[in-house]
Amino acid sequence: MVTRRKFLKSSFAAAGVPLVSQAGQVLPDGSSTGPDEKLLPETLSLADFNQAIAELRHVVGKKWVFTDEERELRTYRDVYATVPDEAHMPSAAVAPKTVEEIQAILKIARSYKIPLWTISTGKNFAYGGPAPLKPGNFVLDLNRMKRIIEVNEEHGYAVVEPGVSYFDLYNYLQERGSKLWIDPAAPGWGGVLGNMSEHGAGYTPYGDHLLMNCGMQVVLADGTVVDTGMGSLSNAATASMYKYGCGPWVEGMFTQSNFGVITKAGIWLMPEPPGYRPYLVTFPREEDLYQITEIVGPLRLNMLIPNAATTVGLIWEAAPRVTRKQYYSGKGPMPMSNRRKMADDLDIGMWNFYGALYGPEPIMDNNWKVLEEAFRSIPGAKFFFEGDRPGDPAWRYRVKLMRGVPNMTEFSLMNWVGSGAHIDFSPRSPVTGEDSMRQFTLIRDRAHEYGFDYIGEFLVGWRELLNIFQLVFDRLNEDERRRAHECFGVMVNDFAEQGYGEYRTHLDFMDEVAGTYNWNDGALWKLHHRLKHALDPDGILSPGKSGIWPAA
Amino acid sequence: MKHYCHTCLLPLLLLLAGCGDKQPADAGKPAGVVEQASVVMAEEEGKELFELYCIACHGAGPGHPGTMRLQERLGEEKAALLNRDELPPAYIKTVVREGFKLMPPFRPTEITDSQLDALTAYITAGKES
Repeated sequence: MVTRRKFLKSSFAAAGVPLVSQAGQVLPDGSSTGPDEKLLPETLSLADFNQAIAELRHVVGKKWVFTDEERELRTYRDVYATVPDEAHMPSAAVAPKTVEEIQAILKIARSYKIPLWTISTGKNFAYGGPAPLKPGNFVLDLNRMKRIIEVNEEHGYAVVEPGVSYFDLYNYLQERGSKLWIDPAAPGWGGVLGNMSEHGAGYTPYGDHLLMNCGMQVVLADGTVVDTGMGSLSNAATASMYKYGCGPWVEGMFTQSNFGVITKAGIWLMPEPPGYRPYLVTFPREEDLYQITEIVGPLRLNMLIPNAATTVGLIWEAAPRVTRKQYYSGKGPMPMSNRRKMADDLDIGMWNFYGALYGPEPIMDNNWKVLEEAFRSIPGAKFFFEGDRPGDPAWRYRVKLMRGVPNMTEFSLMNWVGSGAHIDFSPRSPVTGEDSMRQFTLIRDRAHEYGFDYIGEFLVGWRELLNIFQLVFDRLNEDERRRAHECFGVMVNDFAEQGYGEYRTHLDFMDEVAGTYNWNDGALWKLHHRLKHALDPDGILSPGKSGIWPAA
Repeated sequence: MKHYCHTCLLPLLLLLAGCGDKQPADAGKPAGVVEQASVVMAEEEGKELFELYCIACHGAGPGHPGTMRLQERLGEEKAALLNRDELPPAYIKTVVREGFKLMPPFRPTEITDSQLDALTAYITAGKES
């Protein structure tokens, strides 16, 4: 009989993860049969682990320290992993409620040299979920810190803790009749602070989340609490109104990094405009992407398109309504003839451009004249407005996102294949037709080579073109997981050769992507490491995050 | 799916809420009344949790990924989660913690064990035991 313990043991061995016996002996082949074997951080004996757990329980309460690897800790695994789950399994998780509890946890971590992988709220799917990069790390789970500390209706901002989701903030504002909009990422369960700190984006004119951050509170590894920017004045009047304070501007340093624990952040909120008019323009050919991008670039740069200008690929647009097997039951990528039939059936394009007008009616009327004339220059362009697509969930959720209403419809993409999972490849290039087609064909051809569909969208931030490619695979299919992993690694190299960097990546590719930022003998990452060693000499905070490691 | 009539029991809740701070809310109340009230409160909590964590994927109609998946598997009648009456509580709890196909696992900091009890009670409310 295969017990759960035996299964775990064999999986750990397959993942190359050492287990530690009660005596602290490392068993590289995972062959120990001792009843107390336990995955641990490399530097920790079982006795110290148990002592540290007791101390952590004293700080946050027994209820908020999790060590059961067969129940609680399984909720911290990356369910979309392309490698065995156990490669990223934590040995414990601790969930503080306050800054003071975080300080006490850090003190314990420094004392025992415990690595803490910090997470907030939401799922972080496609980038590693809640799992730590290294097996055995503890997870520092900030989801219980759910205070919305301030909403300023007059000046348009909120100050939130790490556990506040888009749904939480939206509901809070709605219950109080606020006229402020939030800017959610596509999954409404995402965290306001967490998404911002990962350089995430939304779809209203406030879509660049880090740009809309104003002020942070950070707890450093030594327990020091720092309020940044204007917030460092002891009687700060503009902590969430002016970003830069005086002296170096440090907020960015604590994002996508492991230099501190962000415990609150100011985020600017858009006042509800006097008018909102969403629109969709569909285009019939894959090669239309060139001209779409040439048109959209200047319109976005000059802010006639004020929000994230989004050109959605066929399958991404279709997936909220249909599944792959409704149009193709074969293996490998769906053939063009099937894709064309799906586009015709659903009355969508090979590319589907979503935008919105915001403001007083006369301004929207005038701006639309310019936009319509530009898009009509592409043969076959079709225009849709409110009321034109009843019952189409893809249209409906885009309309919600562009006016700051969180929802979960985009998660339907995981229905495209059986037990859908995805890892996202997210490079950025200049906003030109040539670059857009180069990005598209590189990814599409690689995806097809490895047997996957191209499921992507292009967003123009301001001066850069982001291609989000969702590499969707069946997570219960071992072969698909393996192919997805290989495909992703190849694409990292493909794009580095073109000078297109990835802006964010999955746990398994953090070192690899960091390695592509290698100008001048990797000077930037050498700087990151110098900062890491200065701010966190014990190396306790999120080792390996973004390819930044503690000193050996 | 059947759910308790919350308005019918509202006076009872208000009565309990009016108890002084120095005494337990259930002091002097018949045990059956207290139990009934706590069931209602748990179901209210379950409803709130369902609306916060579940409905975005499992609500009725288009645009809900979980509903879309269940419609494909079980047909339109049982596509929305609250229209299913065959789910054992233990199954619901396992799926919430472990995930299942499209459904992701939820951590105990997202939904605590006691909240999961309330959520499960809400989803299964009205089912004959």
